[in-house]
Amino acid sequence: MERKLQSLLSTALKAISDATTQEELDKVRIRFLGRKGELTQILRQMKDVAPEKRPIIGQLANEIRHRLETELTSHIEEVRRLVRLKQLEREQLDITLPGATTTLGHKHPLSLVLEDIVNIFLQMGFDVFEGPEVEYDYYNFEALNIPKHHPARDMQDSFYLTEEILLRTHTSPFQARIMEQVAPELPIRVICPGRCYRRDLADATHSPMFYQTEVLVVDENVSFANLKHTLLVFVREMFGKERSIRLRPSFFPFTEPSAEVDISCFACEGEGCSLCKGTGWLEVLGCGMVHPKVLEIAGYDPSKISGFAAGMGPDRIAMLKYGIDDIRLFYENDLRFLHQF
Amino acid sequence: MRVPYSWLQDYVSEKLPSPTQLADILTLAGLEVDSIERANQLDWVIVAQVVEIKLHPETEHLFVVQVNAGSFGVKQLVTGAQNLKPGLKVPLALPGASLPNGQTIEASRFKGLLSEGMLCSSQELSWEEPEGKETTGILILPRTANPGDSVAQVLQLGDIVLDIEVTPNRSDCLSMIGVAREVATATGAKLVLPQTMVPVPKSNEDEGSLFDITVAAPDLCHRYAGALISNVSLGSSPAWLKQRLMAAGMRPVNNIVDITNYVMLETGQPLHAFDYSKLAQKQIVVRHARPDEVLITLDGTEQKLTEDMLVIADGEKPQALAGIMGGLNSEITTNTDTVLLESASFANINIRRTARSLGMRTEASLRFERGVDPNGVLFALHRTSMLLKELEAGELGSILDVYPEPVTPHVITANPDRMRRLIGASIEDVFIKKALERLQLQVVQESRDTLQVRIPTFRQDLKQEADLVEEVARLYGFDRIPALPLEGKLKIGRRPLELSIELQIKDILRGCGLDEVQTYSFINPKSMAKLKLSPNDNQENLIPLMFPLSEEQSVLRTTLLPSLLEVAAFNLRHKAKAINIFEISRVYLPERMPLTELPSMPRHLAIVLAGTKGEDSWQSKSQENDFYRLKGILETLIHKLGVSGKFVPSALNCYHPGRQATFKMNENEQLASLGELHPDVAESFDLATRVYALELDLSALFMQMELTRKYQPLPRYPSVERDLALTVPQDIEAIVAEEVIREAAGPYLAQLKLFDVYLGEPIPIGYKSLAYSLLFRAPDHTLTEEDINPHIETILQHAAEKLGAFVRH
Repeated sequence: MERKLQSLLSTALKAISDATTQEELDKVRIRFLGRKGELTQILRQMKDVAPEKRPIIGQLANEIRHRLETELTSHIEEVRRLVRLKQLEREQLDITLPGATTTLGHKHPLSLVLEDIVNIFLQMGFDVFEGPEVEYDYYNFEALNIPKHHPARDMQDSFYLTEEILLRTHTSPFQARIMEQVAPELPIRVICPGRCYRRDLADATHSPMFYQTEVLVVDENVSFANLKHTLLVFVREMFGKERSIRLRPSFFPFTEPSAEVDISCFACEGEGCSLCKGTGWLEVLGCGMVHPKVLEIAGYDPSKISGFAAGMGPDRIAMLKYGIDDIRLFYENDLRFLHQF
Repeated sequence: MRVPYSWLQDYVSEKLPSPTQLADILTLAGLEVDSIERANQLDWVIVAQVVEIKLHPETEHLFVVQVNAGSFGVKQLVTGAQNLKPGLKVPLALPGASLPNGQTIEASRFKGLLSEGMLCSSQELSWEEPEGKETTGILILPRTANPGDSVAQVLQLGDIVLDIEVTPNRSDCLSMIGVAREVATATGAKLVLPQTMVPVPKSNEDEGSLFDITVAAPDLCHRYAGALISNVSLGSSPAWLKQRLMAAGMRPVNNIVDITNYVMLETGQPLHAFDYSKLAQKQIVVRHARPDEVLITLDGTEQKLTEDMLVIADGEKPQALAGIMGGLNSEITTNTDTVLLESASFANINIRRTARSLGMRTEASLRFERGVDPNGVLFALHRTSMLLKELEAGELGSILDVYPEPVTPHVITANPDRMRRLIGASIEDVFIKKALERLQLQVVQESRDTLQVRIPTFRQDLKQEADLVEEVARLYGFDRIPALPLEGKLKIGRRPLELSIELQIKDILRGCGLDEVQTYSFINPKSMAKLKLSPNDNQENLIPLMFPLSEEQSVLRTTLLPSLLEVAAFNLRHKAKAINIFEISRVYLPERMPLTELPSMPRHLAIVLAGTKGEDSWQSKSQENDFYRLKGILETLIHKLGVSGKFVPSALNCYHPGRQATFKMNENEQLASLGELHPDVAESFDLATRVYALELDLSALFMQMELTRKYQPLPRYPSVERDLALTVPQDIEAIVAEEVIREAAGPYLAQLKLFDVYLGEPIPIGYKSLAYSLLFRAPDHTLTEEDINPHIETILQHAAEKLGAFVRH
């Protein structure tokens, strides 16, 4: 009997190690350990064994059962592992094939730049307002200290709709409007983005329609130094921490003093390159202290109240930022262009 | 304003900084230097003396010339020129020279013989020879020129020119002296005024009787001074003068005209020379033009004058358009022996208006428009007098000066404390006073906290304290002013709701795969006609521009569609396969025409789809755009913005009659129209494909938005799902079938979703199959079959009765 058990063990162990699938192992289990399995068959012959040997045989049989079960379990795991392995091997992908395309639309580069500009000023506590694109001559010129036949009107040939109504040539009329609305309350800290129009034939640097963003602060004790700081913060947010600015005296009828603002060229770090035409500086905006006449027209006392204004061209800023050399690309809307943003 | 470097030097006591440094100084002083050019530099063009001339052995059309080129040695040239003689000095362009006409010189062989460069004509050097003395062939240089010297130097070419953009306020800087004053102020040098000569009457003879000046329009002419130039010896100006005029951008004419132009460029005071013999009754009358008067100006144009224009007339008729251009009749000619010279000051607005209405722009009008200092009138005449003498061109007689109301310097009261506060820098009083003095602004009185500053009349732009603030600040240096943060109460920056929503909408649409475009607000009225819009959106609503640049940009748009369709056509022409674009912009709707008040300018959104939704990939071909994609985008948008409403059929001419809809909101207010573009309309826009378009009034949307969200508890009991396919007559609208199902579905229906529409075998002809998935759920218990089945029965029954449906097996 002992011999039979030993031979069963070796046969079963071989069967286990020969099995390569879960099914074969299940069969092995039924064949040897099942209710009618070979081990049970052998143990049925226990009555033929001398009683004093029975406990030894019994123990042996238990050990064999235990051994086989352990073997089976570990072998099943092994087989599963191999099967999974084969499956994984089979399922190898070519990860160099392109991913499935998610078609997201593209924002227009001008919108991107406008949003950037507006967000910077929002974070500095400026409110955003919009002025009308079709505007009265009064707000576009007169209220900004540009009377009829003022030589400054040369600077901006306008699209008139009637004698008194025109497409605004800048976002500055908004200055007059907001001051008129708010005066004598203080402070004013606003930004006004929007479309403007000038009678320029379209070429690489001109467009009859373009964007502008107006910045206006009116309060007690607002100084040119404050203007400089505000612009410096803006320029560094927009063009990078390393940028410096240069203010040059200039002329706008609605600011005094007035200045043009250059930023140090980001392409050459001010060394001089083709982008900055060798000067190391890029002109990005115009600004100044609100002209006392403009304050007066709006209802503020210029001897007590002061303010600053700045106007910048998102088109120009986008051209600089993205290295675009032709303003017409913005309004032509070639998808091959738009898809780059 | 073109300022030749060497010319400017004449008026500055110290040697000028280098041209680039000078450009920086001027730019930072507010005179922006646009460019630094060299006028006609002629590198590698040198003086050569002809030594020997021989005929070319191979041809009789060419000569072989040996020249002495000084330190460059002896050179051999082959030339066809006939005017050479041994001993003459001529310009030689050496290999490497680049001529003003763009030609680059190389050594080359002519019929076997080497030519080491090229002998040049005056034309090739862009050098204008004195009138009547033009040489044919090679330019002959003065005998005094030394072989090997630069020709540019000999001809006084090649000056460096600063091109300065003078802002409209600085009329004083439209002159060499004005710019020099800025240079002197900025560098600490002194301004050196040119030599003048006050004409002295030749005899006691009453020169005043030789001509008479009447200013009949004193409001438009503040001062008029005239003097006669006698003993005129008309001829060409010396080279130095011509070179300076050319470098400054003016063409030399003759010595008299050149001198007047030179003085204008120098002093900023325009002058005009009349042929005295042509002036009827020897009178100058400054008056308004009479109705129907005409004047042929120097450019040969016949100008029709109107009464608001100011003319300089003689006893009979206009002889000049005041401050703009002289008349052809009294032009200086070779027969002129006496000239009447005008130096005057005219009202800027009138000159500007006249110049504009006649479309004329001259150096004189530019200066008068910006404002000429009446107190500079005599200085210009005295300077002219000096130059006439120096050039032996004539003799200026005594001056008749009509100046009824002399302009005197005004005084500005300035408060240094307030100036400092406005600048934001602690600039000392001493600096402020010094700065003003350097600008020739005189502090005439000083009290505890104010300065009385006298403003010379050439600085017409300085009117109030703020103007002085700029002067002090720029002399202090904008770069030295500190950058100080704004002070005040903290506050949040806000964006108006409309703009925030616009951003949100753009994000949603971008998520839907649409590209944003930006198009011009003005369009071609013809493209409106192409849209075949209904009469209530017709062309009478289009606001026209008074002076459009072209018909394409001549009216303000009332709809965004034409622009977007043009963008679509443009991209299709460029082989784009997927057009999925949108724009959010304003449209312009007048209350009434012609316009008396601002139009309403609501924001619109327009979407145009054509071709495919995206790019094909290796996994799948991209879906073709269709009506339902467009509708889906709108549904996504309004769902996100919490707007509800319904789609109803519409009948717009621009859309396919069977493929269009209007979306109406709760209040029955129309929000959007959408559809497949009518094939005729598509064709008229050069769109050879199906196009889907939508336009939406965002201002209407803003009124109906519901952006607040409230949490709904998640269901606690499981749901039961049933699929149902109804075969219904083909003309039954989906929404009708859905309503019938909803009505019959009982209280447990939580969701109803159409998942298939099918026509064809085995569905009978005239029918379609609509397959729905129904989700049932109860809030308080788990549903059983028994809960659901009766409702399914009701649905089938109602569908059969109301829709004529039967269930597909």
